[in-house]
Amino acid sequence: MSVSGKAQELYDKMVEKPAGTFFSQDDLERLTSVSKKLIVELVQELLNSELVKLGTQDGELKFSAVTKAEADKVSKMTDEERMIYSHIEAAGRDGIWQKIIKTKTNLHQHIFTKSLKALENKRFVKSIKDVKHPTRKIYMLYNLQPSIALTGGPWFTDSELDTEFVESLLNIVWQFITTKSLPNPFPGQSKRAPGEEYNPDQTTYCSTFDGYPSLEDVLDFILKSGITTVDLSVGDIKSLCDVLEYEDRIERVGELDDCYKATWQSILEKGGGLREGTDPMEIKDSQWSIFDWYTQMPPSENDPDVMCLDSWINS
Amino acid sequence: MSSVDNGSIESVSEKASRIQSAKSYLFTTLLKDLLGLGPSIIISKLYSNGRLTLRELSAKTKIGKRKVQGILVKLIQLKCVKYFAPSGSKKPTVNYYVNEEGLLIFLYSGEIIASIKKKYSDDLMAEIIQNFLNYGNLTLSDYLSNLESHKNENQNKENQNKEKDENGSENRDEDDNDEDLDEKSDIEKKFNILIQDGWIVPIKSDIEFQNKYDIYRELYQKNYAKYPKATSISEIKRKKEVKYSTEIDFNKLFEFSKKDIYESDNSFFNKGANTMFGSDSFGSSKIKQDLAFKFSLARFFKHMRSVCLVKIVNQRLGPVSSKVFGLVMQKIEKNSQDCSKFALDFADVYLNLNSKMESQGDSTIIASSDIPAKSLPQYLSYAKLVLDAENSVCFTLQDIAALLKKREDIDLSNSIKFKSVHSNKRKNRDNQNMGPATKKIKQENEILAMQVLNGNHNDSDEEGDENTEDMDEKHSVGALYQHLELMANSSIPFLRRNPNGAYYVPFSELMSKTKEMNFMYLVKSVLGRNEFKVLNCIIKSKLIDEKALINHTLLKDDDLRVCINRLFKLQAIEVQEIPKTVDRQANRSAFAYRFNKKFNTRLLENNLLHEISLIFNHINETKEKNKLLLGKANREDIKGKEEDMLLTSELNQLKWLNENELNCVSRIHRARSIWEVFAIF
Repeated sequence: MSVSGKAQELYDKMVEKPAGTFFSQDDLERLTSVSKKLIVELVQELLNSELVKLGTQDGELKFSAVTKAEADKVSKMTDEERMIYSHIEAAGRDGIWQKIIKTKTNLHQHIFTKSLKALENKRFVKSIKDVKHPTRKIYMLYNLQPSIALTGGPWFTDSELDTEFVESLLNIVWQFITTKSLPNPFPGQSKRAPGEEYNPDQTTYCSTFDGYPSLEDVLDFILKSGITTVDLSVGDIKSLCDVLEYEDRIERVGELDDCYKATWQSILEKGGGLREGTDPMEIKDSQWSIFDWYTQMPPSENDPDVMCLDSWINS
Repeated sequence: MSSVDNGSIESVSEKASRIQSAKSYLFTTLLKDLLGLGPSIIISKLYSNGRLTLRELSAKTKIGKRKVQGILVKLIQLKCVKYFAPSGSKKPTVNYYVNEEGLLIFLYSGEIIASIKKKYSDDLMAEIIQNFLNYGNLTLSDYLSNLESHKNENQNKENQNKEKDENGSENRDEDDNDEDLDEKSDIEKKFNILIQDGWIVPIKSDIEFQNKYDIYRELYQKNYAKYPKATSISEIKRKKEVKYSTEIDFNKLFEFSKKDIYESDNSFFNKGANTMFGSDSFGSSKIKQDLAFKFSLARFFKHMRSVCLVKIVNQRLGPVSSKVFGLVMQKIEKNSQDCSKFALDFADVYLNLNSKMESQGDSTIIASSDIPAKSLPQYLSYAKLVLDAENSVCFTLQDIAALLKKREDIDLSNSIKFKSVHSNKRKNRDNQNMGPATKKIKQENEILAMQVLNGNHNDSDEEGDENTEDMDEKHSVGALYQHLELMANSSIPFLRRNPNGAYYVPFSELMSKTKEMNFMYLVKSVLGRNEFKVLNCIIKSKLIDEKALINHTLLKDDDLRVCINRLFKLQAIEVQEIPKTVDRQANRSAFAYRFNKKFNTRLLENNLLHEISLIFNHINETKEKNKLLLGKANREDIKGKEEDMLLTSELNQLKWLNENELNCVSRIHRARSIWEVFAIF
């Protein structure tokens, strides 16, 4: 792997720049102040020693320096392994699907599998799971961390949806929004603000009230409270609020505003919104409605009094 | 009817009605219990054939003509069957049809009487309505004479007893006469209240029992024949004009003026007071003795719709707002638009709207770019909004405030807060659409509204928060205004405001939202929270594939597939194939889901009706199994002495039977309360 003195000089100057910097032929000329013809020869020499790799930037052919360790690693690979490795390396943190590598390299299946396995065994590359396509085998360099697109973001732990985490965050977000959207959502349970008088049945903010929490408020609350160490963005809070909206636990205030308020139904379902000391399960004087479903005892198995919604189809 | 009580006919009839439709199964089951097997078989045959003549009915039911005729008279009286005999022919063929009005009255009879009792807290009113339900229709003189004959019978019995005592006094007869007069005037008064509140409506006996569609068709044909053919008007225009004139003639047939209902020489009428449809006040108007009245089912369903909506406000906004909405419904219920079951078919409304627009010179309105009328569904929803705004009964804050003053049970104090109780800082978000300045103006308007209502016009410089002092009062107008505004600004359109500042209830818009919400909560209560979430996501996204669903709902793919499967079984969603290749390869295609609104509602209605029928049958079967015990318990010598005369096991069995029946009745009520939202409102 020994190169001539001038080639070594060029290589050293290229390495001095930050890793991954691409140089055009003119840049290299400026770096070494040698003739164009000689530059071509020197670059060819470095390319042969795997100390420089080729790349295109804005449609122009450019060169980038490779660390000696990396060059050493690549030089020990077979041609097939090198070919596969270069495609995986180019994919970066997004990884590349096994099928695409095979199509691009056009190698025989047997050789392809053997080379890929060899790269994996040498811990040069690793296979990871894509949350969007769980059946696909995605490869990336061993030392890289998969991108959010592959891991699924904060809701996934080890490429599995962390439902417990999502559920607890949903409850926290709902509770925060509830306390901000009603003065006294759980009479008897929450502390009364000093000097505040509430109606025993319902106390609501007026129709023009503008203190409903926005996405930023919710994110701010989560970050300040230190509930989670996972990095969350406004987009993540938005997807949590969307889920709460689908569950009819919160609703948007105004069409274009990203402010939310808790629905009275969701508060009732959680045992709130009732006069102090009222049992939600007690028999009411008013007519039964489907919205009272949470006050009913769930049917036991083989309950003879259960009504079926598909009795007519199955009759 | 003994000749028709035969096991084979019964089983064939039940099977046939069960197979043909859920509705037919329910109503035949109900009629069998209430009127017997003959009427039930006739209704079943009419359901399966649409319309039948007497001869056809007799042949199909295998019941003698004379008997069929007798049953039909009874069913027509009770508004379970209607007929039509075309005019003009010497020997017209009379066709008979099912009239669901009577059948629905049977289904709701208990609820009707209970509602009247609750509304007026008066047993006599409920008794009058009960008589209407029993006889179908009555005149005031019929009612009074029936009452008299009933009294005479009772008196004869009493006299017989008195003769035995030989101590009767002459003075009692005079007292009885005075009491009779009082009672008659009392009944007449109650009749008047029921008429003015729309619970009983006058009928024209010649057309009331006939099929209205046939009457309309005959009128249309007559008008079409009369229309001059030689004119250069196009066929479409001609038909439209004939239709318009037919509608006027048709409405005239069923119209009643005040003079038709009340005696013209009574003092109340002479004062020019609007007795029938306008003023709420009622006096001593003398009702025509020979005019027949019937119970208005349409009015009852308006009441049921109000009950349903008040409950939804309770669940969405809270109990105080729901009480305020109850006052709104109290104000507008009587004159509000009919439930969809009794209203015109929407296609007709659509045509009416078009003709209305044309007559006003707005024929270009459909093509106008500022109206979302690019597609028919968009246009229909726009038409609904227009119709709601035009046809709804409007009310003002003052109207509700006047009603509120009379209600001691409604307490609005401290129910509205203007500032956040959690922090004193009031946020002023820079909003693109409604900046802080706009909000300030809005608040000032509200304060002004409160000042106008309180008769305080001078202190316009006061701060908004200082003007909220009256919020602490029980019947505060400011708080009332805020509750109305909360309903008007809610995600569910409970109220809307017209340009004049008055409020109205947009029934078409509100009821379609109510139906959707009822279905959603049915899914939540029956299938579960995940299914509810997935369905809501599908509805909001309109068309969505599995991957997007996973991302939006944050559900595991296995859980999502279970939800999708269960929603499919309920036929709540349908799948749409999105082909990725030209030859539509199934393995390359993507599949997206959408909400199957129309079909699942129909299916749900049928399922609920079928379930109600099954419960009715279960009650009958249980009674049949315990026939001996029930017979024993109903014996005159045992009644009241059950504990002494019956064994412990028999008493336990009786207790179980009672509980079982109560349980079944409550299940029927619940299934019916869901069904009516989809089928009636």
